Amino acid sequence: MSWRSARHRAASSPERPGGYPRQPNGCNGASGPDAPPREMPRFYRQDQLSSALDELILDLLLDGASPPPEAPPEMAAMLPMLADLSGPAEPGELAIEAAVLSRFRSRVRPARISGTTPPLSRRTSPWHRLGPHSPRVAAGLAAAAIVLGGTAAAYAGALPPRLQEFAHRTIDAPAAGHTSRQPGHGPRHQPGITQTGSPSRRHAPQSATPGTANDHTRPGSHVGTGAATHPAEPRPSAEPSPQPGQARHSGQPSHTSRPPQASQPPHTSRPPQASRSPHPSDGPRQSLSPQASGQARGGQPSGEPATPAKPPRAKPQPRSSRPGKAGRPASDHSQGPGVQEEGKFS
Amino acid sequence: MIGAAFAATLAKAQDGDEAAFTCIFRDVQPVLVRYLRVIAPGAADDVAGDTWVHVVDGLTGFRGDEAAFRAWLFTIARHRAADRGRWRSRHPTVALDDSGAADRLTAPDAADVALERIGTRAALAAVARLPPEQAEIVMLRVVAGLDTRQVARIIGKSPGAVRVAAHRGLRRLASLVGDSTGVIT
Repeated sequence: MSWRSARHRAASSPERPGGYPRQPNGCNGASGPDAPPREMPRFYRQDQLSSALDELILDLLLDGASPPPEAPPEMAAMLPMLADLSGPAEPGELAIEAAVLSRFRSRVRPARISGTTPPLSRRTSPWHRLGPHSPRVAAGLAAAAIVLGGTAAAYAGALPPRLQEFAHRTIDAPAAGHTSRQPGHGPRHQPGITQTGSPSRRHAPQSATPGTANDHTRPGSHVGTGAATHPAEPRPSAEPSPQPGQARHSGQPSHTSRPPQASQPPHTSRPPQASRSPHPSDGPRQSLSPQASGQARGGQPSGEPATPAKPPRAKPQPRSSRPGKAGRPASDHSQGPGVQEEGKFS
Repeated sequence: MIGAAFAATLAKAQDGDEAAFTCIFRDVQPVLVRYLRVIAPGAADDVAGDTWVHVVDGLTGFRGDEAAFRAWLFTIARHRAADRGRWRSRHPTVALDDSGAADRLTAPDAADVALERIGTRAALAAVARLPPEQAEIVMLRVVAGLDTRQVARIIGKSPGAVRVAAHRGLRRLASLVGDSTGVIT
């Protein structure tokens, strides 16, 4: 609303008060004795006119416009003062500019600062969200997926035989061909498989002593060395003679996970019949029942079957009897003392 | 006010253009500090710094014209000033600047007085003598350049109440301008 139009409206208001329509008969009085106050004619007094003018002038001042010449002098004098309020910056008012700009630089991405804004299509790609190390992250994710998938396949027995054997040795996955598990016992407890006479390859790396792995595949080597380095020791005759299959199977777990010191107790518990074994450690393994041997695999000595072997375990053994320490290959058990050694020593 | 070039300047600032952001800062910062000197005397610079921290953090997400930007910035400033006021109420201190000691130690020079009459400080001093609500509304309307509806939205009152308070404040300012002793403190 301009100043002149507002002035014209204010000046013409007494002739047409309140914006009410003019009466048909030309009278602008009350319509009746019981007429409501809103129907009463409104006549602006001089103070009301000045108030309306002041409001218009104040609105103009608030909007930054210059007041009309008819404005009171005190209001006209406010214009420069209000202009000073929004005047140019004084020296101390921009003191925090450096700090604010530093904050601005730190909060805005450098790529956008340099003007090399990446295209929007790159933002939508999930690989680009990984940042500059995305190839490494992708390679790591792929390796993790391969490892996890291979582990799952190994435990499921779905790997090729060689890989399955490798997994069996490394992560204790089921051996190749071991698809069924005996409930309530160790995860891999199938004596029948090792009784076939085919040397299981899982015994080869079970040697606790490095450097004797080659001897695992040579039955003759352990025969001679075992007999020479481990002379017959007194064995408790009460030990039952192990079954070939049992002996073969029971010998495996002690090789796989038993520490070098753990191989000593079998020496004492070997029965007299077990002297045929080239290695003293074959004795206690033969004394283990199939259940015990199955549970003893993986370094977990079984409680019940290992009980008869415990008394001789207290017997101290010479350090030289540890497999591999005295040059005797610990791999002589890899062939299984049950079948092969039985034929050689008997 | 930047005017028609504000949209392009804001877009550049949102893209990381430091010069564009500096232009906006230098345009808004003086009026922001003056507004804060009225509503948060003694902590205007600190509150202004806090305000710009929030503005910079939310700059890329802002959408609107220059009036909306100013309304957003002054809303942040008002909230930060309120926070500072609550903090000060819990940690009362008396600053030397507010004690009036500096004014008592030196006699006012006639030239300085004449300059201050038309200067920003005199105007701020006059506005600061208004009731707080009227002073804030006058500052938002005159200094920040916001319209009645935006001011009403910021301070939480109706546009009519804002208009009435602004008029009352200007009338009182006019009386203060007429009385020279009321302007120069």
